[in-house]
Amino acid sequence: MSDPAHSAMTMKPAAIACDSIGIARIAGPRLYIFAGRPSEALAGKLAGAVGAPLPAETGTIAGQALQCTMLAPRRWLLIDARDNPADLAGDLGRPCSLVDITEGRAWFEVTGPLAADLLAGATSIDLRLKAFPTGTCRTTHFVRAAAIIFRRGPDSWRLIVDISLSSYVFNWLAEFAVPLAALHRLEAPSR
Amino acid sequence: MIRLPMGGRIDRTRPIRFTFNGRAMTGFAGDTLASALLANGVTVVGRSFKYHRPRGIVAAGEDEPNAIMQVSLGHQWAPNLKATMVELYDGLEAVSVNCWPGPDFDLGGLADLFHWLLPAGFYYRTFKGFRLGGRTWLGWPFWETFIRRAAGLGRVPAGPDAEKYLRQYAHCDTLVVGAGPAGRAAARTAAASGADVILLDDQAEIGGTSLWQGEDFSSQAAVTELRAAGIRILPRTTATGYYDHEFVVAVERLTDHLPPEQRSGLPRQRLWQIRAGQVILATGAFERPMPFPDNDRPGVMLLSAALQYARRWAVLPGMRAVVVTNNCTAYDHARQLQGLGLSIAALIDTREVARHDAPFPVYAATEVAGVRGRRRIRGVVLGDGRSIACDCILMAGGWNPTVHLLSQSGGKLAWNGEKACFVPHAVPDAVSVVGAAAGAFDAGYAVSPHWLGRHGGRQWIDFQSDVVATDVIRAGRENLLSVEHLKRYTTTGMATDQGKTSNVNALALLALATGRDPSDVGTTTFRPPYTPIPFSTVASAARGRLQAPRRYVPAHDGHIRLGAHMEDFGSWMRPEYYTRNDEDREAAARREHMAVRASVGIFESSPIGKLEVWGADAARFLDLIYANTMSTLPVGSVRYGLMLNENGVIIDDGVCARIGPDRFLLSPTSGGAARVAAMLEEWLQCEYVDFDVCVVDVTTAWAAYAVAGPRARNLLEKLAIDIDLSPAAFRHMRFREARLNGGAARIMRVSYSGELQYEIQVPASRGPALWENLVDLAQQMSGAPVGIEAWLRLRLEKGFIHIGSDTDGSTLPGDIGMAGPIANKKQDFTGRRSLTRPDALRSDREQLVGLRAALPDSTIPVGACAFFGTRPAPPTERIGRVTSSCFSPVLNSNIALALIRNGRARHGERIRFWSDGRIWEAEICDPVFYDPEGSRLHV
Repeated sequence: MSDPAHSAMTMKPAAIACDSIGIARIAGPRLYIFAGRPSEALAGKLAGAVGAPLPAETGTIAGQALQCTMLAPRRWLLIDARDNPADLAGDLGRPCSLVDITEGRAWFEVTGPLAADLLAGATSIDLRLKAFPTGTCRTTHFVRAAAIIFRRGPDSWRLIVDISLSSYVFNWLAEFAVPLAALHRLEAPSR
Repeated sequence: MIRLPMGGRIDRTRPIRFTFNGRAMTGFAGDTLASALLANGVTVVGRSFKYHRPRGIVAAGEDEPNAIMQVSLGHQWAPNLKATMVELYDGLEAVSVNCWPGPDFDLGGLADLFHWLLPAGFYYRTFKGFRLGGRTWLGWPFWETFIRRAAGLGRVPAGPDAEKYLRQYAHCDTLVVGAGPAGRAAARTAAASGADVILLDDQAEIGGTSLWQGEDFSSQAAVTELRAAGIRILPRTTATGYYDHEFVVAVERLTDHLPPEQRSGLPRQRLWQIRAGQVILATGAFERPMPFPDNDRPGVMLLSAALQYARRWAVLPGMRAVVVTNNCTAYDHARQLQGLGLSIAALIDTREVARHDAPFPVYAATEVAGVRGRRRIRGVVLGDGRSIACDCILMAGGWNPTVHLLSQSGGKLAWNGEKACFVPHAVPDAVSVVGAAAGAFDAGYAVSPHWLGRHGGRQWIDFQSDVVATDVIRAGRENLLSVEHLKRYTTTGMATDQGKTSNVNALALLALATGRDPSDVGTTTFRPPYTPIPFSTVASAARGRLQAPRRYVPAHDGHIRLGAHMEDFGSWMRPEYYTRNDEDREAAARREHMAVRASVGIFESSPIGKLEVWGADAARFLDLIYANTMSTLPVGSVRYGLMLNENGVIIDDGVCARIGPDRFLLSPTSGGAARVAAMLEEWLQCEYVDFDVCVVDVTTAWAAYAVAGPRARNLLEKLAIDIDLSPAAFRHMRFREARLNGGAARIMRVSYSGELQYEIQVPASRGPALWENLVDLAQQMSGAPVGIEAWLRLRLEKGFIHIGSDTDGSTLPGDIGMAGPIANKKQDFTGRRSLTRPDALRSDREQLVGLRAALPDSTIPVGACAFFGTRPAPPTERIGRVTSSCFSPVLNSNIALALIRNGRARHGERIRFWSDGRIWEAEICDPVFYDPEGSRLHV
């Protein structure tokens, strides 16, 4: 697991909570980019490890403990949340175009009834449940950082951003969350 | 003006105290500033822009041209607010603008005495200046200072805006703009079909014209009903722009209506960016003023506005009114006002056939010839000399659909002669226009155009920009036939109201004056924003530390502990230099510089790009990408390479390591890494689609540290490392994978400093610990951490280029002395053909050279221009520029790199440089100042 407190990107505090929003930087699972045009055999091995065929369209997530989502043509993201992560590259057989990017990414969890409103301040993608169902993800820009957003429930989200931008993203979330929550308190009786 | 004893949508149990120009006044909850001012008997609310004539409230909404206020937000003043859109709150302070000492007596009013000297366009002719002695005297730059001081409506706060602002994207199936009867009906219908609907309205209360035309309309009941239908309602929200693909920007005034003490911690406004599947525009219509002499006097108001003030806020604009109209709608509105207690002294109808069923005197085919009263209306004079006493004049000149958003959406307008207005004609598929915005006026409207009063005098067309009818007629006379020319010549339709009350009157008058139909004149372009938006709202949180992304290196905290002065380098926060004791920047940079030359320096190079390129065709692909050959690179070796664009221009450089038979590690520049990764991906996806290659950017997954200096190897030997570091086993330009301090590491022997140098890469999480370790060891060896400033000086001594500094958008490989290696390359590569163009082969291209300053203690500024001769006076020719410059503590001299025309043939020549009025002299030399044999790299 990546260490969320390893450097200057350490945020103090690493989590904040308003009454309707929770923001936390969390330790995420291992991340790999699998890129290129896999042979049938390799794709089969990967599907075996994931437990499902490689997704053929972006946004969908295959697998459980070891998940796979398609980021772009010929590019997949593997999320290895297994308790004892195996040597994935070894499993697939070397050489294969699998690159470990865990150390270069930071995870955030955003939860609460106002979580979607908070995220909607930074990303232009459609966050409505019918457009972004639970259990799917989207590759987008969050503020000005490339990001992948996962929907884990109606009010539960996770974000992956570049680790060098994690402080910027956290500060942005924190900056917006407080007035948004205050506004929610003000408007609650009327909306 | 009186407050009616009952009625209105105000809460009389909640009196509100406020001040206007320092005068204490009282209103009620639910009032706008405008309605409260009227209720307090204020007739003059400000002065006009150009002639400083006293002005009163004309309208009741966004179309108000006169009542522009500066309003206190507590700790700062907000300029440019329309009193008609400001909701009253306890403690509100408002002041008039564009007048001194106040609106009732304004010294600027003297301008009106000389109005005949100040027609439209007078400044274009007057402030040109004159030529004498080869220069212009009293030209525009001289006058501009005074004119700018006199102009403007309000003052922008000098300090940063302390308020908070939100920005939010939203998506919906149907967006309805305007919550009047048509908008509400459209929203209900859309919601009933299962659509996800957002309904926005610029008023605090939902209802539109229902608020003042229906007897028993309950806004709250309407809101309840709409919400029950699943419609999201955004009150106090003005749609300000319609952009491509149904993208509508709106501003929601969140807390502007609250007393300052209740706004603490709350955002002031929210910028909505809404992407809709379909947009329904129910934006209503604005009533037009009527042209007659002195129609700008305080007390002259739009009839519909008067009815709104009476019904919504229980305020009558006077006791006895004269209505001036050209259509039948006015009769009903006048009758309603009379029913509310306003005596209608007369209705003056410019049409030949007027209605005579009205309960007040009607004058058909009659026009107003004059207005009695200056700051307060006393009566009107008719064309036949008769006078009618009154204290307010209500204008009803017909209706204009509010088509700004439609026009911005790409919709077309057409002139409707029967309705005397522009109506939607060709509407984009995803847009619908309903209600008055579509030109659906009352059946008995029967308007007859009236664009110019026949009794002469000064008839105001544009109240806000102080444009009178004769200005428009003069524009036509001067052949400014285009409505766009009219706008710029007279300024009609400019300023904060963007001509909401004036545009159609102006263009129709231009048509009349030039013998054309209004449809031939057309309209000006309706550009966003529909109504002014504070810059702070647009910026939202993107201010201060969040203005742009900041990237942090893994050992950031370690740098801070060492006293680093952090600077922004291409969005990365990096140590520029480390201060010790009272060192300044220059002293610190020289000390760090010498540490590398004499012992060892540690430099965090984590931002340097790290792109892994894999696949069976990786080598072939890189041969096409780099100007150098990479396919011949043995595994474990490193090669410097240049990347060119299709024009042959250098866009990036860096080393490329072959870390496996089909696997490379590219190190593009720190600022260019993301751009290069995107470029490689584009080539693969668009051109080399059949290549078996993939590119993964792992820049931030690895921390990187350069260990440079003659003792670099000694330092590495103190680490727990499992590779042979001896010169024979690990030579210059080699790559090794190793175990370092118990973890994986990648080590390259490359040099940007001109010394023995290792670049160590470890997983980012281990970066901070390794940094501490390296710095400790270096300090034990009289070494030091090194910042960017010293690092760039080290490479300058060595003559290594810095992309973007020593190159620009025209630099070719030959210009920096790299033509040779590229010329021998057999394979094709990006930009190759461009290098054979005649321009690329010119002998007088600017070429990279070194400079030794004539005065050793004077650094030539970067950007200084090289020129022939002794003085840079015309026609002296510029022959190049300084690209990098510093003091070299090793050479004890100021050195520089420069791009000089035909520079390589000029070694030994002394030339001069100019910058900011100073001149420097330097001798052109080889760009490699330090260790030209490279002996220090190969130790």
